[in-house]
Amino acid sequence: MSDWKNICKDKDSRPKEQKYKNWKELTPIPISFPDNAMQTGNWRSFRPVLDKEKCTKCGICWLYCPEGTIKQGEDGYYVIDLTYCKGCGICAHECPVGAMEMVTEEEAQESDVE
Amino acid sequence: MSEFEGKRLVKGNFAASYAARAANVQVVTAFPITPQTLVVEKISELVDSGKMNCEFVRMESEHSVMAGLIGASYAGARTFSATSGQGLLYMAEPVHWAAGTRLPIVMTIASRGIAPPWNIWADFSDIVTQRDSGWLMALLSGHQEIYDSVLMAYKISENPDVMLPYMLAYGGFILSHTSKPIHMPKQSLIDEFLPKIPKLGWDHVFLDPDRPIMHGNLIMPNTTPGYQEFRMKIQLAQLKAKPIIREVAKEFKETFGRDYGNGMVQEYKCKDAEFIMINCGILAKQMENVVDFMRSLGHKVGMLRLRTYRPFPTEDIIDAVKHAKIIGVVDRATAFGSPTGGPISSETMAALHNDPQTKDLRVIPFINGIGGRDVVTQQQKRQFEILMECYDKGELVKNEELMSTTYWTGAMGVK
Amino acid sequence: MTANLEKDFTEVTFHGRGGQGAITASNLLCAFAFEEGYNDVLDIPKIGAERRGAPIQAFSKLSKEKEIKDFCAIKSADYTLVFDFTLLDIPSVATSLKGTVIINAPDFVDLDCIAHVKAIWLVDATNIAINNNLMISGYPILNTLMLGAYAKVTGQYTLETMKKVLNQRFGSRGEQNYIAAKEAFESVKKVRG
Repeated sequence: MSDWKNICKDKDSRPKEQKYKNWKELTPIPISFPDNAMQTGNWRSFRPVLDKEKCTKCGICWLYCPEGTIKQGEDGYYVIDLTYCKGCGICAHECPVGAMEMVTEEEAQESDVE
Repeated sequence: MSEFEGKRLVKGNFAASYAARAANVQVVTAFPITPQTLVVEKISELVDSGKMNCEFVRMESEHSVMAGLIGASYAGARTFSATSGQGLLYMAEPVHWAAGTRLPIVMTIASRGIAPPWNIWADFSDIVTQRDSGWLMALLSGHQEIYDSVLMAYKISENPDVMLPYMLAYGGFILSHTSKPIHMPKQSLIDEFLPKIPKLGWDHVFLDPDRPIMHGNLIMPNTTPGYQEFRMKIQLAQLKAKPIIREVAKEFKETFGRDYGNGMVQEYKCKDAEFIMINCGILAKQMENVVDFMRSLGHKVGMLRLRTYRPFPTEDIIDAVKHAKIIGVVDRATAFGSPTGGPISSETMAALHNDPQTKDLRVIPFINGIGGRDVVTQQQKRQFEILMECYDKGELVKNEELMSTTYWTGAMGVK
Repeated sequence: MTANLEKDFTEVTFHGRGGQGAITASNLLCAFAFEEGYNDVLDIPKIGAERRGAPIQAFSKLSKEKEIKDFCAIKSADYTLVFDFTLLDIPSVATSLKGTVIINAPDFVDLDCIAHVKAIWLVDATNIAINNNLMISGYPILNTLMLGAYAKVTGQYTLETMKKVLNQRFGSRGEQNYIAAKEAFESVKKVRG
């Protein structure tokens, strides 16, 4: 009933998922956690694909991504989180060496299978 | 046929813009806010292309929008603007000034829910915050009515016995962004219907260096005539507006052929009804279908649409519902901490209580469609069923929707 | 009196992605029907904070005679226009499809996920748009094409009506839209039902 009272305790002990049977059980205000925010990946009709041969690891794509979906991997190359990437193409536009290419989702999914 | 006459398919917001043009508005100040933006965008387009002869001023905030209109109206101009939700709240201070100065400004409100949580959809809570500011207020229920009401509003506001600003509210998105065919009358007919804009300013106030006056100064509490007397005059003007609103609605019907009840309320099959629901805005329009359906099942139901919210149509409501067994009042707005939680239901109860004909009439409050939540006809049908069941049992039906004495229909986790 | 809570008008739902023109399409459909002599029409764009590429919905209601008083969203449409077949991957979209469905898709697309739909028409609107250069910043605009296909499927309005309204609305680009819409009108084909 008052599960939400733990919501602002430390990150680990708060409920992973918020489930309420009716409106009386709700938190007083709507709260979203970073891991269950709106998944914008299905908005995408074009996907950025990185060409590692051209990439200079400069990090400009990481800096410009409006959704913070680009992170540096262990090998130093940048990786895109496709759950949230909405395919806006800003990274491809800003890349100074043209290492990021926008590919249609269908094409990308086909090459994934291969 | 010109772009501005005849039957055309328009968005609700554009209906407001076209009506402002037809009313020969002279000054429009504007600041964009969703879902009102299209109103002023269209006007700016019309002014820019020379199709509307009007001074269009872009302001830096809603507060300045109203300040600008007050200035222009002081100088005797016919003025118009539009806003919504948070914009109206930000405008609040000069909104009261406009009424206190008795300036006939007309403003359309594409009503939206108040944040947080952020909301941009239909909800009349925004104008409820300004309901006691002295402005006249109407709750509109269709594209055609938006157009027609702007014309009627100038005629009512500029009446020397009224001289109060007018707020015309319609649901955001559900009316502002949907399109329907509306009929726009000939300009010559409109010009004849509307009062002439006085060349030398309004009767009571003017900005003219040749006729200097002072206004807006401080009056000490015990100076007479003073603050109290001028406040009483605003309430008197609200009361005097009632017959004038009825008269203008009648004249409008005779001139243009469209019927808005008596201007204060609009009855739908109330004459012989035993169960009457009071509703407003687009949900009232939709409820007409439900009334037809309930009547086909043999229930004697009716619906009364509250068209004018300020001045509150006390006599009109009493007259329309005094023969009913029980009535319901549906709000699409919240008034937290009020007797019922809904603004119109609270006021209706108060209004009926003081009249011997209706003092024993039971009023059942409903709240629905908050923040633009879809209200389907099935839900409205159930509201009637709850109302009839309450009458049969002689007490409130206990169910999950009931909070204190009010039914909040359409909430999560409720069947 | 034959009053009921069931609809007595045509209901059309549009599923698209932000930027494809689905909202404009619901408005244009009303304009076509209105021009064709329908007494009352209503378009309801379901607008929120959507961006380009986000799944969006719009609705149109068309009535030959009676006034439309029903302003709520459509639950079971007579006709549904799907602007992008990848939307069928979203379960809530696929299960909501009822009545006759017109999908923008090439021939080879897999329709198993909507096995419950009785009548399906396909039109390759994306390619027609690209061939006719109906593009805005690299995105094909599909609204007039889908409505060309809709005209063929329903016969609710003629190509002449489309031409007239498109020329009024879009001026010099009206003709270009009309030619593409005509191509869609001619190429839409029934695959089920």
